[in-house]
Amino acid sequence: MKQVVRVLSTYSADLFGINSVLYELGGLVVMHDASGCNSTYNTHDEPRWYTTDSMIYISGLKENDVILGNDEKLIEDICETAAETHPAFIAVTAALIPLFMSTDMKGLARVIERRTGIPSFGFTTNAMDTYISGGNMVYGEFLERFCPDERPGHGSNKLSVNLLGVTPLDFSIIGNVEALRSYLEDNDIAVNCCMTMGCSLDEITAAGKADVNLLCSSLAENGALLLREKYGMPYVTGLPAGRYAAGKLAENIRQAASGADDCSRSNRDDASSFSAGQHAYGGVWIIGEVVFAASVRECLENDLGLKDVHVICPGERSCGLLRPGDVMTHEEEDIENCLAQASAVIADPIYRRIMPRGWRSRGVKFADIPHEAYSGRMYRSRMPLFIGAGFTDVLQDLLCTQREIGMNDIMKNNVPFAKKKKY
Amino acid sequence: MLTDLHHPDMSKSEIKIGEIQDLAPFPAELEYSCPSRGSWTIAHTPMIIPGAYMIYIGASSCLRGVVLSAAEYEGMDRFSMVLIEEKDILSGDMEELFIEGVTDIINKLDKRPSCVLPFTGCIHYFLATDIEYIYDELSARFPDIDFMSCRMTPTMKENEHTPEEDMRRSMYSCIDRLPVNPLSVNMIGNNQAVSHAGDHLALLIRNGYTVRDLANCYEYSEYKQMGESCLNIYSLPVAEWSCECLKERIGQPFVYLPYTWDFGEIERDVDKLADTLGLEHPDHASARSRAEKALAEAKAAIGDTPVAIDYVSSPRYIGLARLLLEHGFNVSEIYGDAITPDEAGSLEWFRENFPDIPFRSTANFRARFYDRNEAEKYGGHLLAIGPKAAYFTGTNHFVNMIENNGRYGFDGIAWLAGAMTDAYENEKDTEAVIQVKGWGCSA
Repeated sequence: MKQVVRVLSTYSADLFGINSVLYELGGLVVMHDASGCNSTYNTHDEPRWYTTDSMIYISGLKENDVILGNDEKLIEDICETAAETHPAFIAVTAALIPLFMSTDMKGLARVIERRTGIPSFGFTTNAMDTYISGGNMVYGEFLERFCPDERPGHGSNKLSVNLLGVTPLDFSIIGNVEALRSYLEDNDIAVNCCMTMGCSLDEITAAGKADVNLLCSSLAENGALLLREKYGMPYVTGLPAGRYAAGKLAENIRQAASGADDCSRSNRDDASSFSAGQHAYGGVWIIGEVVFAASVRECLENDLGLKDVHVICPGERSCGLLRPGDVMTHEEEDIENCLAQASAVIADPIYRRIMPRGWRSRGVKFADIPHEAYSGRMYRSRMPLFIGAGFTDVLQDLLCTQREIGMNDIMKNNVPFAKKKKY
Repeated sequence: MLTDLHHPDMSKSEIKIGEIQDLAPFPAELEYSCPSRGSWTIAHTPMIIPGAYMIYIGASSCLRGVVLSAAEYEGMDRFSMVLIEEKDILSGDMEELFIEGVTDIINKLDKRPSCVLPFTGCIHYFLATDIEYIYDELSARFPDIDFMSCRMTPTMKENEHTPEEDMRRSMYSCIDRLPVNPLSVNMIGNNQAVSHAGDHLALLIRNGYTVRDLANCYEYSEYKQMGESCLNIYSLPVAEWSCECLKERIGQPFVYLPYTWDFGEIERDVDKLADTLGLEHPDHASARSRAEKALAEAKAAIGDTPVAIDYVSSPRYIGLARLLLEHGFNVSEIYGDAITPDEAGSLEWFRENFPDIPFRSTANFRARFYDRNEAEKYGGHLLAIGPKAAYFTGTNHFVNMIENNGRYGFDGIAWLAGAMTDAYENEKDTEAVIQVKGWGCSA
């Protein structure tokens, strides 16, 4: 049955995507909700929470305020906090109940900005879409607001890029971001701004100094589109994951910078082109965020010589990377059908739970690549470095050895009270 | 990258304990959630019911926290969800989605659960979903399964009954009336089994009673057998309503034996239990003396090391601070956001004796800006009791006590004294330990 999630998990939600993008930028970010969203985000989706301060809060919405529509309480609380903390900006997102109340998030932001004088943003999130959707909301609005209409001067002769869509939700904190920077440096390409891990709001404002945007996750597609429209900046989509891509991506960036070949491939397709009813049968399936999944596909096809490789894209954006036979879905029932005759699956370990009966005895392979936006923190110690030429060997090893992750990282630190299982 | 944040007015998230006038002394403003995660949530507590299966019906952001909690304690075999979409809010078919979703899940399970706990969310109540109809229909479709109607309704946390209280009510709602066994007693509401060494249980066991504690049940039949008990005992205030409901529904009387740290109250409460069951009062002298001795030994080991205490450690955390101060310990600060009415006496004692001890909020937005290096100031020698105190002081020496860890009475005091000495002498990996959600939970 559609909407039933019998054995799987859910992806990080839209409002968490917004938090993650904005985390390091010195703003005040408020989720308008009762409680729960706050601890969910900072426990499962935010590995920086323990060590890096950021003002991500929850409004503490209560029943009376829902019934009486008391937006003034939220506005006052935000204004008081802002008066004491002087954030660089204010962002307010909505969970399910504000959506149900038809809360005017944009209107709230306008009132807050008028009272505080601080740039404010209201995001009409619904708590049902994924982090991809939330991330795109932020990229669209922030780059529109903070990047000046006139493109800033380059300031350097060296080829430079902005990295769009870098958050722990897709890259975790295990070294992928550092590896991406090293890869570019080794290829004599400067990083103008790594949005948004290790960058400042000022650097975002100066995004136009770069020659090319590298779209690293579909959560930032709106950013790439906006900068193309605003400044005529080309963008390249993809990750240097594996030998082939590591060689090709730098070349693509150079081509895009020269104007010879704009590799932008946005919005050429949509969800209806990749409905579950048109899925491919058999072959290798990759499940995950589409830029990552397409990069893994490149590695499988070009480095390991595999054919018949398909992608299940659970997010709202395909970024022009899907092919016939691929599927955009988050429905468990659809995923189950796609994987029924798979020869191999590359996905977060939680997807093992939906593999067809007897898959191991039939020789079907499963390669675990934990994804923070899906299983959260629990498999972080087993996340592979996927940036760089070395990923080819990692992927081959995962497929050949079929090592399963045993106990998750959190349970390793726990001491269960019960002496035996209760189910 | 570290972000330069301006520091707010910290005097609004910290007051002197002697100045507390209101049991919720901090204003309701934007809320912070610190990384300390030891407490059990609604995704953890029902797991102590043998054979139970949880099904949450809600929006994906609401369900992400619960499904990943279940995944982390390796409990996904006992967990499913039905995701609400925008169209469901508009269509008015919430009942159908609920019933058909739960039906689909149960029909596809490899194993028939003893009981199913479907969770409704805030949205169901705002949409006036017909909950009664849903459960009538599910019970008719699956007459062999007990359904416990559960709620995940955080917007209603200030209602007459909090979501935590409602969780306890639901969990015991399928205990049916059985012929009374005068030698059977239930413990109600704990996540961790109550220690049999506790003064109240020791009394019962000495007198031949069977103590039924859901945390110690491994078969669903043991849960159902709780219906024969002649008395329910609860120690956590959140279990009070559950006991009231059990009394009203199946006639089981109850007694409140709080996790007090007050010697006199322990004796009075244990005597009250004895009176309720017609037993002789125990001689408290030796138990009291053991507790005194353990505290003295701990004090000798720990000396004047500052001790920080949080509200997660014990429902009577103000009373705990008082006990330690009365025994010469150097309690330096207390972390909490609300105080139960039970603690009024201890608060009064603080006003007269130690009015200047800081009482700090953990949830006020300003709590994000605490220095979290208190321990460093004392060369690493700061002892915390409770995971939030450990986080906020930055110490690696702490007792990971959550809701008293099932320890009660003089025995509980002696146990804590030993745990404090151990924590003083041995470091823990604070970051790893306190981030475990629902400490001790498994499937």
